[in-house]
Amino acid sequence: MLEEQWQKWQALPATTRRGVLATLMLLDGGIGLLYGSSLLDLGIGGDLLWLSQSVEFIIGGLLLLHAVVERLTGNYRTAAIAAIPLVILLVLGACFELLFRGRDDTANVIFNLTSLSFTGFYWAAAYLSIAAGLTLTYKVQRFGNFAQAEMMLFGAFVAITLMWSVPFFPGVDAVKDGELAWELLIWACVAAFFLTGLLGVLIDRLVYRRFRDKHAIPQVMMIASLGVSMVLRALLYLRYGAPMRLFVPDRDWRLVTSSFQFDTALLKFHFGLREQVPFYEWVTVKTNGDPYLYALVYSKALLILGVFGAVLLLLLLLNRTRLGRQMRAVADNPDLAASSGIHVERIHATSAFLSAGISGLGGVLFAMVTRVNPEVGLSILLPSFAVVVLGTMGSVRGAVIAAIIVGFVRASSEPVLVGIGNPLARASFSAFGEIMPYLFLIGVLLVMPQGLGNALENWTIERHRRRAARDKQAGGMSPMRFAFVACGALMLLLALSALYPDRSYPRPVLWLLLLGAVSLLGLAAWWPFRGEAASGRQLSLVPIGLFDGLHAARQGVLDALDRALSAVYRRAGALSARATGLLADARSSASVSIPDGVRDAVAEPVRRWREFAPYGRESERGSWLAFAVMLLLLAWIGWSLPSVTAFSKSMQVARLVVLVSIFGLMALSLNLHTGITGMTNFGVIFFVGLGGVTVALLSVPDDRPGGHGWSPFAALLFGVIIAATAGYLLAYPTARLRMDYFAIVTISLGEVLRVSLLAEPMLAAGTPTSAVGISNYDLPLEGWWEGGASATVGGWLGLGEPAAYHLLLAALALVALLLVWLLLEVVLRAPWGRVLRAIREDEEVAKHHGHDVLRNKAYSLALGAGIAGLAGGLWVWLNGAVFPEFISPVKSTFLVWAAFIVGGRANNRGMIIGAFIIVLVDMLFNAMVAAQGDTSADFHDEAMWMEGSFAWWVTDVMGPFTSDLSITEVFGDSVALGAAGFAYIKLALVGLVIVLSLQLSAKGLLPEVPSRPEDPAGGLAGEPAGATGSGAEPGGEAG
Amino acid sequence: MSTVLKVSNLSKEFGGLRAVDDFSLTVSAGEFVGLIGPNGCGKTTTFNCVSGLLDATAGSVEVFGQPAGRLRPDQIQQLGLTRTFQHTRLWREMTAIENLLIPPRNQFGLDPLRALLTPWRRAEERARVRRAYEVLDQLQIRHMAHNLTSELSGGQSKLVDIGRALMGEPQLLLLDEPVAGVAGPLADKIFNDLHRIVNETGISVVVIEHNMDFILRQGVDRIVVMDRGRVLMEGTPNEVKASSEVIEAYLGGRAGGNA
Repeated sequence: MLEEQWQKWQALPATTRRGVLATLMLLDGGIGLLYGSSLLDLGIGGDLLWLSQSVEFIIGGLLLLHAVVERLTGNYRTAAIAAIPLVILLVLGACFELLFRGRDDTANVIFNLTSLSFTGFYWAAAYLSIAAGLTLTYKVQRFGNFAQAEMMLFGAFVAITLMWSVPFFPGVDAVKDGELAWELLIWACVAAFFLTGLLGVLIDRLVYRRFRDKHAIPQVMMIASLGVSMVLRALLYLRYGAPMRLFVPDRDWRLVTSSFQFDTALLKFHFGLREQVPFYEWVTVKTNGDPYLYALVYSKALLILGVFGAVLLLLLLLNRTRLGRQMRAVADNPDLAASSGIHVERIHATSAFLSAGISGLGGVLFAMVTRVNPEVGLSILLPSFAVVVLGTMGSVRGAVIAAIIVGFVRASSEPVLVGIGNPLARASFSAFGEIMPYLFLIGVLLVMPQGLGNALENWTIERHRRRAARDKQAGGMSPMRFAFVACGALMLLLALSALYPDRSYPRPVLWLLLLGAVSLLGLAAWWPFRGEAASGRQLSLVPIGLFDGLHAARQGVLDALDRALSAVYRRAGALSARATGLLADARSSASVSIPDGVRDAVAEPVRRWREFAPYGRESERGSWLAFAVMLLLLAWIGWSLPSVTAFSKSMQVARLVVLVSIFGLMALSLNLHTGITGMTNFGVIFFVGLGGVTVALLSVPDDRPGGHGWSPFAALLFGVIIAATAGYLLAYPTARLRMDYFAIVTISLGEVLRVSLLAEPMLAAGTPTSAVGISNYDLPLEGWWEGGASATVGGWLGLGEPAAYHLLLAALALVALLLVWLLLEVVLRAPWGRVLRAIREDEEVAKHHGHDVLRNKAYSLALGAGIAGLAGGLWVWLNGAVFPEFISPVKSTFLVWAAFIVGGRANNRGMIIGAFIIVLVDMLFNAMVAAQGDTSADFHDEAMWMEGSFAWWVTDVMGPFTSDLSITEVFGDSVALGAAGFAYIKLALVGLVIVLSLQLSAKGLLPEVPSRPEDPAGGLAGEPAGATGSGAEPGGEAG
Repeated sequence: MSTVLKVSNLSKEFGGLRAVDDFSLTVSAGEFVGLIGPNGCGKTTTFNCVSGLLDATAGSVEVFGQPAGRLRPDQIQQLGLTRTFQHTRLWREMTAIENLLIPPRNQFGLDPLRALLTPWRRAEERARVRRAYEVLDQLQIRHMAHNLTSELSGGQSKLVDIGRALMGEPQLLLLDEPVAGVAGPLADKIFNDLHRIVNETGISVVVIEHNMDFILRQGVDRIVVMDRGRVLMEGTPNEVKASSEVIEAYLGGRAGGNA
């Protein structure tokens, strides 16, 4: 009976089943919010209850929407997709209404409409300045460039350095005379554009070109760009330090009067209990002395105009010039483009120049509005990735639209967060504004797993088809062009009206009007509006000859620009070729021929090694042997790190073991996700953080604020389960996405967790005073250890005092690492392991050979996430407190990635070696920092040498190019690295290691060992074809 | 004879392009069918719709009597249908032998929990490895068993691809240009082997082939000629040969137009 019903249920289409489940979730969440009783009610209470019910309600709504969109076809589907934003708003509104009704409370969400629209455009411009560059890189070079934000910051710091060049630009000290000075601003924009562009070309030549030559996959280039971003960020830190800085081209820019004043209107929504208040109110506010009027400062207006203007120029360049055509050809098929006479490398360089240059320009304008330091990068980069994903990767127009959408999402989320945060006793909720772009992105992906791109593409195809049909009938001017001409003419008239004596505008307004008029009219003339027959271009409103002339002039200018650029690249190309030649010469002269005696002596061991391990490190035996040698070497280095007493030695070794175990676990998790299953996971710290935060939060004792009083081991188990569940659930919305979407979603989730830790009071516990963070939680077996075991162990080791708790933790961590390693070796040797590898190599083919890719990815994600959660638990035990900075990818994810690449992808032994190396580098740098002030300590000389070279570099080498002021502003009287400086050098080193090891040996220290099962019936299978000479031709004719 | 594959009035549109247009095909158990036609006539798209890679715009597909229109590719493979791809797509950073060990159905240890029970010690896994070596033996590429498939030549790759398809023990095998780029004698041998397998095991094979002369020589049971997404004609090789002048002229005209 039950069986039968189940069969019937299974027979229903998947979308129907999903729709029913989603409706149930929606109902359950809604009833729960309103009346406080739902399925989720069991066991949890308080704030967590309404929070989870809200999440249930919203996810139910999104899933229902998804199911409906999936079921519809044709025009209904298009309409439904267009209505998605509205429906999402409705779901959110309904959620708030039910929530506050249920709580007998009121929430007032007030939108200041003028402020909203300008803030929306402001964020759109900020994101677009990076997203335009990202998109261009996606289009031409086909990878997600994680160093794009650093390009923007580089531009900002070029401007700030210029600002400090007092002899040339007395911007900072200029008097406030009420006249805006443009000189420094213009020079800064030009310099930032060109210098950042050149930096982009340089990096492209040094790093990405080699990957292109080797036909590396985009994923590798994306990871390399992560390394580049680490190096650049570290260099910016070293030179400019951590303080937040502002670019002030002239002090008048900062005056209160340097702004446009606007009337505004307020739109108020009242959720929950309403007495005598309607659901919404509309209040208009006039400029005259009302506190609600909105002032748009000139610098913000400039950011909006500057970035959108630059991107518009970029669009013109891409769509209307020969260069743009060549770029599109290269993007489409580089080989074909090369064979049809396009200089592909020059196109790549041009693209690198433009994408970096635009971001640099954006950086200048951004630094005028907001203070920046090198840390700002990631917080703008991730929303920009959301923009790029939303706008279809590689489409500049799509990016423009998506930037506006995302900008408005961010701008409008702030009033909502404040409005609902206050009645919920969460004044800190506005911090969530920063992560709204990714939450929005994840929501969109939930509804449309293929991303907006697919929908847009289908829609575009449909549109083109209809337009083609329409074009057959009529020519003439398209309504768009007419609208452009009309608006432009209106603006021109307004500007001209300033000639009347009794009318006067502030100068910027006049300029803006003129600029707007010129650009609109220009666009109307040149923009390729489709849907107009060829004859339709000859506008009846404007003399034809004028446009023809302009067109010819423009062509001339662009050709000249093209020629100039080509000349520059030829020079640069020749220079770099010469440098490469010199390097090659040096290399060949340096290689010494091996004397015969040595060769003979080595021959026998080499032969034995070949016999022992026919595939070298790519066989089980060879890999194990290499692993043992490396491990011993690293252990010896670790053992010989300096320490003062036996006790501190034991502490040091214990810390080393714990850290190697934690990083080893994280690397094993990453290896399962990325190395074995092929999902680029940039969110290691998300799973680690989930586990860590859960463990810490639950094991805070009952008598402390926010405590739950779990035993540490129970909390650890629960933390692992939470992380694994999150991994499993993540698979369904994300695992069928392109791998770069997956990377972006996972790295964004880490940020979501960090901000949650900052803004959600439920995630703070331990001390009454602290507003954020978790501290004073119980540690495992601490009582037993302090109650005598520590003294016993101390006695065994001859420390003369009780051993530190770290020793116990080291034992626990080591056991955890070994168990997990064993577990992974077992499951990866089984058929499941080879299915995962097949999914990595080609998931579509794996599907056609009978394997459910989605389910296997979900299992892999869950297992790996569980391992990461375990690492997180151990890590919070080691640290003793959890603060939001704990969830920083720079201190975890990126290091683990370095370990993963250096150690050797898809080899668990390599993960241990990689983790060991990363931890040792960290400890070496710590030892150097400690030795700075102590002349007798080891590494003192090395530390001092690094200090000296740094000072020499900043003052003597770079000094002439910058200025004295720029040095004293940052370093004060003496140029010094300090403890922070060493940490940044380490960051740069790790980034460099990522890039170099990808370039030099893509497989890492311990490459993957392919599975080579022998024939159970015996036979000649075991011999490698290479050894018997029955030749394989690498590369083959497979194409 | 029972029907293993029934395609009825299948259509597939890409944007405005109708790649497959009202296509119908029935394959009985033990039949060896050739599907031919000029470039872009929708042969591969048909395969993609049948194997679950693409959703058909209209029409229905039944595999072993089961409606397959809403099934995923892996579910269709579980029914007993295996297909290959026109451009050989092996799992490149894996050895040839491991490539062959992935498709067998009902392996023990395909999920992380059962994988914990050291499934590689079980007899069935040993038998599976044995069979994989036998298949490599038949295809005469046993010496490449332990090489990564990225090291194989084009022809060897094709052979591994066919061996991999056979390892899934399909009842219906869809081969997309299995001998493209393979030298003449080897191509003949591959077809001989396929014939032998069809005769011995009674499975059905549908093979896409570009070269009409070649397929006419291979003694398939039936040939379906496709053009512009439709069935142009259907019949035994002799019947097709009889009208071959028409088709030849047609193909020739098309080929000239395309070049």
